[in-house]
Amino acid sequence: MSETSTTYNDKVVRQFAVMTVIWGIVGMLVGVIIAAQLVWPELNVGPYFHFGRLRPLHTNAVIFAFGGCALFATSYYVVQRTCHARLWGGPLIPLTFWGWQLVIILAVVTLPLGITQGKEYAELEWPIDILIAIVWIAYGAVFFGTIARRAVSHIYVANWFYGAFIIAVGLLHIVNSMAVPVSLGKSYSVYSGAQDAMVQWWYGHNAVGFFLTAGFLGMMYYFVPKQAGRPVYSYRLSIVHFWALIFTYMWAGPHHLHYTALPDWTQSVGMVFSLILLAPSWGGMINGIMTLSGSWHKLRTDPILKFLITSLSFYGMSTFEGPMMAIKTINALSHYTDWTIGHVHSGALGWVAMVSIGSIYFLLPKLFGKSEMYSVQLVTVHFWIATIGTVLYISSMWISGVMQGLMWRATNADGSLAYSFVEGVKGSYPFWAVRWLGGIFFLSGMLLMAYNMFRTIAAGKVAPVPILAPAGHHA
Amino acid sequence: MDINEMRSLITVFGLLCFLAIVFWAYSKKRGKDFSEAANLPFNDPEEEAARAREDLLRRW
Repeated sequence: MSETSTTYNDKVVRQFAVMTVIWGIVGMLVGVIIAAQLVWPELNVGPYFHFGRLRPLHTNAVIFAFGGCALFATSYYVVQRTCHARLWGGPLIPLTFWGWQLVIILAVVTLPLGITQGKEYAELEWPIDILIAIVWIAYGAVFFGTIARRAVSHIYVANWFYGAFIIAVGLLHIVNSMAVPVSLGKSYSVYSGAQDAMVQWWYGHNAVGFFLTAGFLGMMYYFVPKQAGRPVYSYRLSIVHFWALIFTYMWAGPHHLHYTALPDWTQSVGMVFSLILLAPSWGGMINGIMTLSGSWHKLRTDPILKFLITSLSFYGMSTFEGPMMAIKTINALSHYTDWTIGHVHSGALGWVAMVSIGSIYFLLPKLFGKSEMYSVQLVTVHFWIATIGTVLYISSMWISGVMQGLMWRATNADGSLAYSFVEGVKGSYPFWAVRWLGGIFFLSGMLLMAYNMFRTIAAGKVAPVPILAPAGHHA
Repeated sequence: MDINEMRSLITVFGLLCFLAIVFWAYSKKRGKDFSEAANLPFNDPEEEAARAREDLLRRW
C-alpha cells in the first residue's frame, strides 16, 4: 500500500492546531481592546475601530476562528484515531483549511469596514456566507467520508457529537443566512419582523448549542478519557446525553426573546425547553468529571487534566446558570445587562476555551514528535492565569449585571424611574475595569501558550504516523 | 387531519423515540458492545503497552 493510505493525515491537524493559538490571541486581543474602550471611551477611534465595529470582530474571531480551528483540528485528529482510517476527501481537506482561513480574513477586513448583515454571530455578508457554506459542506464530506471508511464497526461517541455539530451548524447557517443581495456588500434577510427575530435566535442559540457545546463535547469525550488514561465513566450515559441534547436544544432559542413581540406561548416553550436542558448538560458534565474517579491524584500534577476538568466545572456552572436565566421572571432582571455577558464568558472562557486549550496542549507534542510540551511548568502557569482571568471576568460581570438590572427597574413612589440610564453606566465603570483586567490575564495565558508552542515545534520533528490496525475483536 | 394534531403527534413521537433510545442504551445486552466502544480511544497497541507498563510500575 502507498504511504498515503497507511498513515494518518496529520498535516491538516497541525495547521488547524497552530492557527487555533494564533486566532485565539487575535480574537482575545480584540476582546481586551473593546473591554478597554468601555473603560476609556477615548480609545474608540472612528469610524473603523470603535466598539460597534470591533465587537462583532471579537465574537467572530473567538467563536469561529479560535473555536472553529480547534474543532477542525480535534475532529480531524479524533475521527482518524477512533476510525483507524486516513482522512477521506483528497483536495477537499486543504480546501477546508484554506477556505476557513479566507473566511476569517474576510471577516477581519469587512467587519471594521461596517459591511454587516447585522445578525448577531451571523454578521458576515452574503458572499462570505456562501464561502462558509462551501467550506462547511466540504468539512462534512471529509468527516463523514472518513467515518464511512472506518476499520472498526462502532462509531465512537465523540464522532457522534462532532457529526451532529457539523450537520446542525450547516443547517443553521444556511437557513439563517438566506438573503436577497442588492450589491456585493449589502443584502436583506428574507425574513422580517418577529419571524426574523425567531429565526435569528433559533440560529443564535443553536450556534451555542451545536457549535459551542456539541463540538466541544466531542473533544471532551475523546481527550478527557485519553488524558485520564481510562474510558469514559458511562458509555450508556454518553448515548442518552447525546440524544437528549439533540432532542431539546433546537427548542430553547426563544429565551433570547423574552418580553418581546414574539408570541407569549413561544417564549414559554423556549423557557421550558431551556429548563429541561439542565438534565442532559449535567449528565454530560458528570460523565466527564467522573471519568477521573480513581485517578484524582493525576489532577495534582497534570496541567492538561487541570484544564479539561476545570472546563467541565465551568460547563456545569454555566449550564446551570443558563436555564435559570431563561426563566422569564429572572430574565426580566438579567436581560440586556452585563449578567448576560458574564454568563456567556463563563461558558466561552471557562468551558470552550479551556477545553480547547487542554486538547491543543495534548495534541501539539504528539503532532510534532515530542512526548510533552517544551515546558509543562508553563502549561501550569497558563492554567492558573486563565482561571484567575475567568473568575475576575465573570464575577465582575455578575455584580455589574445585577446592579444594572436593579437600577433599571427601580422606581420612585410616583412611578418615575429612580435612576437615569447614565447612572447605571457610571456605577458599572469599576466592574468594567476588573473585566478588562480579567481579559488581560486570559490573553497573557494565550501568549505563554504561543511561546510554548513555538518552542515545542522548533525542537520537534514531523513524522507521519502509521495507521494502526485496530486491536482485538474490533476489526 | 388538522395540522396542529399532526404537530402534537410528532412531539409525542419524538418523546417515544427518545424513551426507546434510553431503554436501548440501558438494556443489559448492550453492556459488552458499549465497553468495547468506550475503549476505542485506547485501541492502540503501542499506547496500550505503555499504559500497562506504567500501571504495573505504580502498583509495584
